Amino acid sequence: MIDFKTFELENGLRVIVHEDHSRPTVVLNLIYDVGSRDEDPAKTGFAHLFEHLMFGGSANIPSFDEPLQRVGGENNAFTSPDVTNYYTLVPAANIETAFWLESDRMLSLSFDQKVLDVQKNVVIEEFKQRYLNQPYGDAWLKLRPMVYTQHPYAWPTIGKELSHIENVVMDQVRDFFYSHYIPNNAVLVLGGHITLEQAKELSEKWFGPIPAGKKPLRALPKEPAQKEARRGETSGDVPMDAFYRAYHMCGRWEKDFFASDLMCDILGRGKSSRLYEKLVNTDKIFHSLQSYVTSSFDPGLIVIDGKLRDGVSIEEGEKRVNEVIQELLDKGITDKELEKVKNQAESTLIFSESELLNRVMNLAFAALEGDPNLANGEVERLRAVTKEQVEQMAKQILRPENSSTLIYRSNKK
Amino acid sequence: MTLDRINAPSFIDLEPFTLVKPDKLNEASGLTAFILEQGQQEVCRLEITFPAGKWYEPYTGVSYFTSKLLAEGTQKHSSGELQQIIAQYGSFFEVNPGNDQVTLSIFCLSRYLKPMLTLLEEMIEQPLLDAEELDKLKSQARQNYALNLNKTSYLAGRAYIHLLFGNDHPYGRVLDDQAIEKVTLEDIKKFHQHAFHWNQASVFISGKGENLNAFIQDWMKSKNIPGPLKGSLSFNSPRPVGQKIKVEKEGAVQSSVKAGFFIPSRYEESFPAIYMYNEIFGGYFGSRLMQNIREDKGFTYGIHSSMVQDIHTSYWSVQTDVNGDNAEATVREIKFEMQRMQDELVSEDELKVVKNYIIGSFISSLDTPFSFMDRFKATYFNELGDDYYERLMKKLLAVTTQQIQDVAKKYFDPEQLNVVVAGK
Repeated sequence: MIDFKTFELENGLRVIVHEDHSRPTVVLNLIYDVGSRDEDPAKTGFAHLFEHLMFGGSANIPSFDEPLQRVGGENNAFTSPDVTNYYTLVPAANIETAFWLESDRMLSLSFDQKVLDVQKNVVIEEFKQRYLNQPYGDAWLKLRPMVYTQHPYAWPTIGKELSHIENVVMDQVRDFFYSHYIPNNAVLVLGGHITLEQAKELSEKWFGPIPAGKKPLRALPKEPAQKEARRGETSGDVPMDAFYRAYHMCGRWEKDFFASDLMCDILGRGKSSRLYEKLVNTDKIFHSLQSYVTSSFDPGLIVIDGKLRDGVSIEEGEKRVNEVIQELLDKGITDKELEKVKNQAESTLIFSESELLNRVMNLAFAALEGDPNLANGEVERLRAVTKEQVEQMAKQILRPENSSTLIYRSNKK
Repeated sequence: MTLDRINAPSFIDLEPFTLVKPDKLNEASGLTAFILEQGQQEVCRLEITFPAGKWYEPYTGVSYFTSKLLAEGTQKHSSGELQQIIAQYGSFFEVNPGNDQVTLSIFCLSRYLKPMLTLLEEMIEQPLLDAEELDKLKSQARQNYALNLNKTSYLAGRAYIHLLFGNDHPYGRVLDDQAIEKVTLEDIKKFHQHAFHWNQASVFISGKGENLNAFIQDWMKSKNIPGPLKGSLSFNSPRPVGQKIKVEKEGAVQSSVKAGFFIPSRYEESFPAIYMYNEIFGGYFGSRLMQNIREDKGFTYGIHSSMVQDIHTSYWSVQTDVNGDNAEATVREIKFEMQRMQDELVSEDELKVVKNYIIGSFISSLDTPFSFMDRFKATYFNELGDDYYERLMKKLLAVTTQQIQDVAKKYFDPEQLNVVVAGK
């Protein structure tokens, strides 16, 4: 249970306070309701590049990091398809510095051309390091557009291609800033060694004077229901063949999410899961095999991925995966299995909540969806899932016509 | 009154603080346990370590495969059954064969600590050590190795470690196809017999629970079994300086750079100044390397320097991934920054920033019972004394700009830098 209180500033900035005085640290977390799903398909990767620019100087302060380090603080940020999140950890005595810095870059950026030029290069190297210079690193670049034909989840947060990042100009940066980085498009969460009164006073002082803007309307194309199985093939300098299969499922805030997630766990979470136990441990078809959900805000995916053992054909591997799925559909699941994945999910949640930063981020995500209380009661919601619901989700999701399969062949054969 | 957004709000300089320490329980045989009852969530982490890492193995791979086989079946349960039991309790298990220690860890809801401890005991005392399971692990290790050969960062790291330690040192050897092939089940059984004794084990429990001390004290009595003492071993490694190695990797999109050399250990007087040198040079986001090579030139997503400080070794490295065309320029800039550390005093202001940053990030990193226990483990295995971090913080805050320049001149000579580049 994460305790919290909320208030809202006149400019529309929502503030959530989670007091925990057991450690002398405060987290200041500012989440903006913008992600790569909000990008123009011809200019992808922009939300993430923009996140880099947020560290390159603001209205009154030339550098974000240095003054923060000076008071013993650290910070980072990430961009996802759904959101952009900035967080600062700072010793409680010096929390005001974090308010000063974070509010100044909401007020305005410095829009420095050199910063833009350098960060374009940095992001291009990040693109290479994460996606192009890793074996199988480009698999998701190929899988996403197969699965999403309309919805902007078709491209990854880093961008569709390097040229989109290379072509960014300063006017775009300005437009993006003024349309998305406004107080009424953000949620501020304060957690740790801070009181509600302090939080109110400091939020009012530093964020209060920032004018509200026009909250952008989000009207994303819905991904139409998939009607037939899709297949794709690619190859690369990788040591073994790999198999990827994605199925559409609901978004993380929808009512079927927990049942679908638990179904996916039964299939492929960890070494006791059906896929691993049968095809890695016992029959030795795959060298690694797992399934997981993407947990996105809009309808997401269940993904199965695995790498084949030497001497086993990819066709054989796929056939065997299909058999494991078919067995789940035909015979259903056992009570014991369901209890197992519930126990795993519960302890994962509790372990995650032992970190202050995770509690704060959970509140931020939930608040962006409209209700910070969604961060609570997850254990109860997953405990309430029945065997029938899980089996129902399996039937609804694990259909061939709902699937996209990507075969990644090794060039070495 | 208008709000002053130009000048920073007032702040305080950070002071050293006291870390929470675990309770210590001892048995006559040598078995030791540490318990840190802390936290708000009803979860805990149980770890059991043995001095059974690479340092103690007869040849490459024996420690790795012995450790991994512990979880692949016991006299009572098959490997699949072990996994089912762990998962049924909602627990997570891992075994980490390290350079010196092998650690078995369980993360579980505190109410399941007892059955989880029983299961770890079973793995440690009665592993199956079965030929078929070994074949499975070997096949996975071969495929992992093949996968790693496709990563420039792995290739650079491997060549660097091999350069520093050479073939005759356990840290320098690589688990390649040949080494994997060579490991036999007989040698694994022998190694298990002499390296996994309770009298040499250390147990660490951190998290929230009831009567943990009493429970563990009871359990330890049943494990108070005499066994052989850990022998003392030593190995020689070359001390290379100024070496250059290029690892060719066709079609690589980036080049990985790894550079460095041996430095004095944390037991030396000069260590606090060396620590500050590393932090300023490449230890944090505002470091000289990041400012120059990422924030000014945009050559890379990240560049860092770091120290490995263990009981048996102590070395320093710089690592980064850059566009292949910029690899040479990057090495030049690394050396340029090293030269600058020798030629110019670090400013008082820069030193001040780093001192606050170090203490502040240290405070923030101590968030969970597990993080306190991790710090404690470092002092324990390196025999640094319980109040090591308190003493270190005081010494770090006392380091002067002159001391940093002195260690720069004495230990960080750009001409002596060993450089490995893996890429096109």
